[in-house]
Amino acid sequence: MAIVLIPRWFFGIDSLFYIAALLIGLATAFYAYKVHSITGKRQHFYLFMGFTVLSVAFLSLALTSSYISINAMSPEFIIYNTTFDIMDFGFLMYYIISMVAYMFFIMMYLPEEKKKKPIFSILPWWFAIFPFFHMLSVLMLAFPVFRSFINWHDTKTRSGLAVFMAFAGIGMFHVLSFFTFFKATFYVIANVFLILGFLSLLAVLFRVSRR
Amino acid sequence: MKHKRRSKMHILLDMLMTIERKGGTAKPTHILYGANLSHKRLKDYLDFLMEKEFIEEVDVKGRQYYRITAKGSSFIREFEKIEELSSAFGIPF
Repeated sequence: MAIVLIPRWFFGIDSLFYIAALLIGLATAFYAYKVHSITGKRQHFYLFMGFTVLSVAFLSLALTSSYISINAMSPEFIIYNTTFDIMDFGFLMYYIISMVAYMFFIMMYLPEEKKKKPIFSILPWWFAIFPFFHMLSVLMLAFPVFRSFINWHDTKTRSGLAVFMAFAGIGMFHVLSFFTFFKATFYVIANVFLILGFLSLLAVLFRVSRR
Repeated sequence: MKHKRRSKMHILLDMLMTIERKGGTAKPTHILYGANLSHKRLKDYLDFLMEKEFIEEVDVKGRQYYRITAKGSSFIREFEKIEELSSAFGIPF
């Protein structure tokens, strides 16, 4: 059983962050789908799938954190217990679904011949338990972060930088989430990094839509 | 002087823009010169564009022409958006 320290004043705000991430993720998936329908490229398909699946993961997280926020107002509500309840289910769904999304991002950046292998089979599903989930997420996101950094370094475009910041922001969210059982402040900073990452992605979408 | 190689998407754009400049319907030779292609590559790309339903083959007075479709016109309009999104994520385009 893991303990996550969350400041009471932050209850509800985190849910809003996840809803914003969900909407921006869906908007990115929409653009990626439009592009894929024209180009038919596998990488665009993985981009579409990655953000669609990640949006579903954030839906699960938004619902679970909203449930906690609403029920936390009741004095009888106990967050810490030893039974597997609806909150545990919500978080587990988020862990598993987001790892599938990260796998799509890895596949998007892998060379063409590597993608033929059944890459999902190498996913250590038993790792989908807090706080190991965050460790695994950081490891999985390291590749998209590295590749997006290389792309920004090569192209020197604002959109390239924004995508790198988006992946790095999500990565930092996982790094800092790992420390949420030490201090509640980590939870807030982690969520701020997450929303900054998605706002960076929103900036890319604005640039694309203006074209 | 070093020339940057055109990507497949840029070649397709050149072909579609050639057809559009000709009023929406063009002969294969016009596309060949307009997009600066060899005969063999022209055939491959025309097949690809037809498979994607960006163009369709039409018969005008017994001669073979290619007509741009609504999807093909949409590709021209959306090209910059596709290019921006692809380059932002580092997807080869």
